[in-house]
Amino acid sequence: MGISTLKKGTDKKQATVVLDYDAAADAKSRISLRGAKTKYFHVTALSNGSYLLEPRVLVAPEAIPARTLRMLDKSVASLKKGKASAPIDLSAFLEK
Amino acid sequence: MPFKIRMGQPEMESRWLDLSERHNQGTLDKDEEKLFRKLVKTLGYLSIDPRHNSLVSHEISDLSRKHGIKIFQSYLENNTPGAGRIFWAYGPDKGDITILALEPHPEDKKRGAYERIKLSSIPASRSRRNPSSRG
Repeated sequence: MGISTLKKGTDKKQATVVLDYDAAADAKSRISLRGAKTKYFHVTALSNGSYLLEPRVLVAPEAIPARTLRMLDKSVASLKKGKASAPIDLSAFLEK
Repeated sequence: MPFKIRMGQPEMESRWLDLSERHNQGTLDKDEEKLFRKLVKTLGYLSIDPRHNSLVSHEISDLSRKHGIKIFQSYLENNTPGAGRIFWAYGPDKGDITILALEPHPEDKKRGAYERIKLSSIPASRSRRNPSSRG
């Protein structure tokens, strides 16, 4: 479920340089990424002072806890068979 | 016309029965009581108008694709995803809404919206540049 991804190293194509520039960090150590294609990055700081930014994408369904997903899966399976509980009566709880 | 609210079987139904019975007995702890009140309020809104503003109801397209039916999510607290949410779908009959799952935040170890963001790798060739090529 979610966004399928390739495992690291499965794509043989090499990355090519599409942009090359010098940048200065501002007073808060921030550097703007020019022409960034994604909003989220995984940042790796290397011992030689380099920073490696790897694009990431949001995967919404996995943000749902596994227990909740399991509950949902079972409920959907029952619903597809036309099974669900009897209608619940909320009036007693809403009046309190 | 108000919708009939049903609970998904088996887990959601047993969860609801457990919460409602213990609410009647007064044996819910503080967090559970808070959750139950929010849940009842949310279900009340849902039965009247599934698109009620405070529910922030929206379809979760990935779940809909996976299961082949439209699955929606509504918040238990206005614009506060961390407060808990319910997942629901229309059916099994016309005029029915079935609650498929409940995600309460007191049992969720991850708190805060930012922590909920899960990140997934994209193909290495698009993302990785040789770290040694730049100093």
